[in-house]
Amino acid sequence: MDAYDHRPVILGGGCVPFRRYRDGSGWRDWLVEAGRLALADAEIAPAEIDSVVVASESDFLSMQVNPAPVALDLLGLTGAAAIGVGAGGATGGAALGAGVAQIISGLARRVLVVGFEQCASGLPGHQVQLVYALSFDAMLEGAAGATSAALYALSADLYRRRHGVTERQMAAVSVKNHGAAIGNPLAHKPMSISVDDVLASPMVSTPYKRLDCSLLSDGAAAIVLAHPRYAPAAKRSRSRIAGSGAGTDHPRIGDRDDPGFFAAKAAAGRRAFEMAGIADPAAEIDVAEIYDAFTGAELQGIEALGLCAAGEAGARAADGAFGEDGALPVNLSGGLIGQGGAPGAVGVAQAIAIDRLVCGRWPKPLKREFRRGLVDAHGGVCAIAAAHVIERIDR
Amino acid sequence: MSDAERPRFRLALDYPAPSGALAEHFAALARGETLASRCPDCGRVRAPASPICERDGTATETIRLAGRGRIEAMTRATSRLPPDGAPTEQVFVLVRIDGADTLMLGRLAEGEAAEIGAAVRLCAVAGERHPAQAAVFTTRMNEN
Repeated sequence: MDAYDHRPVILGGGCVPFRRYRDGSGWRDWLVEAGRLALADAEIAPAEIDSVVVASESDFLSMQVNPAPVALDLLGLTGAAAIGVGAGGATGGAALGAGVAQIISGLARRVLVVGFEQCASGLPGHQVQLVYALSFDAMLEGAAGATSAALYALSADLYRRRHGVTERQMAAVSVKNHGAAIGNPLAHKPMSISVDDVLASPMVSTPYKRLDCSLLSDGAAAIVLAHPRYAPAAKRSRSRIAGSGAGTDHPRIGDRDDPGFFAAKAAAGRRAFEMAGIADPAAEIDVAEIYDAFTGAELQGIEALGLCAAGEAGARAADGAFGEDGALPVNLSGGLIGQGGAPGAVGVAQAIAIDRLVCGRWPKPLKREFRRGLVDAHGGVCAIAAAHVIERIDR
Repeated sequence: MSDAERPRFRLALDYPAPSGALAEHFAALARGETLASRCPDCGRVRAPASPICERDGTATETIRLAGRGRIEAMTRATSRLPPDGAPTEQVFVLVRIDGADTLMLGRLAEGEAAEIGAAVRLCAVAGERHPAQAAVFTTRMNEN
């Protein structure tokens, strides 16, 4: 039997709204709610979960070292197998990959992948930014004062000057993602804005303005994976994870052969596409959730994943190619810029979004159907990346 | 309950600066120099130095570079130096150090501006809260 015949079915998912919670609740509350929603959506009992993968970017944010046993206790799943996963912004995606590996290897029949982060209502914003700066090379970059925005901007500077990408083209990404968030009730910042609004927002790190940046959000998301043999029958369409890949690059962008190119993402995508049997991602992927830490990073990501030719993403974004009615809708959830940035939860929430898009369960009515989507997340300035192909199972 | 009324848990962490190879790198930075590593097999020169060649895993030899080069990427950002200080505007740069195959991150000296391609040199810095903050470049090539 082909090993890939064991590729996991997505039984269901649940996500709390991404936002800044002002009701005194915290990640423990959101994690419980996301898990409850996921199990209800999957239509299985907690006792049917063999293993839990717990995703959280940083103990600094949660003030909880070793969160996995605490998470299982909160979820009523103590006794199940568990691991914790941390990979910066790729944490949720890497956790999904760990869940896939457990299913395919036969270690587990059904896996709950749950991710969370408290980035908005916990530490003050400047302290969250300090923690984020430690997710690059902490000793040589973070301690030197370089912020996340500065390091991304340096990569984007090289990318932009090579390809002639303009600030207006990057701003079009923010307009698209905030606009898409209007159709997503879970989104943190649904907004109807213009390119000029983005350009007029306060400068953060040239060329990035505030509206070019992703959000600091609270959030939690959970998804249930099952080996096909252990997936209970369902009345609705389901999807499966057809491909899973990961990749890495040097953590300091200056050490890379091409600091403006996301090579880790290219490698992760290549591996996921190979597993999914995809030869031409630009033609075979219908919809994508791309890790938009910054507007330019979305463009760099689209190109690295082979979803458009090198140097063309900026012009195509400005022309609407990645909008809801475009050739390849990107970040219909709103992405990190519109839906929100809670790193442990993001990769899981992206997978839930693609699952619902390909299964016809997206909350906003769309003019067309999708069959196969891509989920992409990365950590650092794309020092580590995770990519997953999710496709509807033909009934 | 408002945010101000919520009970707080204050945690102060106090990490020492690194010892070992990074300590040598930081000492060189403070002198306005940089230590690089050269791979005896492929010849790749990396700055800051790394004990292992990132391309082929070979143990490297450490060499000293003059700390002069040209700016290849630049951004003007708001940053806190030290991390618990007030936000200030900084210009962060990636510099191709002469003799190195890689780019080195640093910031321009306070009050200086430059263009892509400009010649810069590391300048000796003292009194920084963390030794990594001594990665400061100046466009004043002939001053001490």
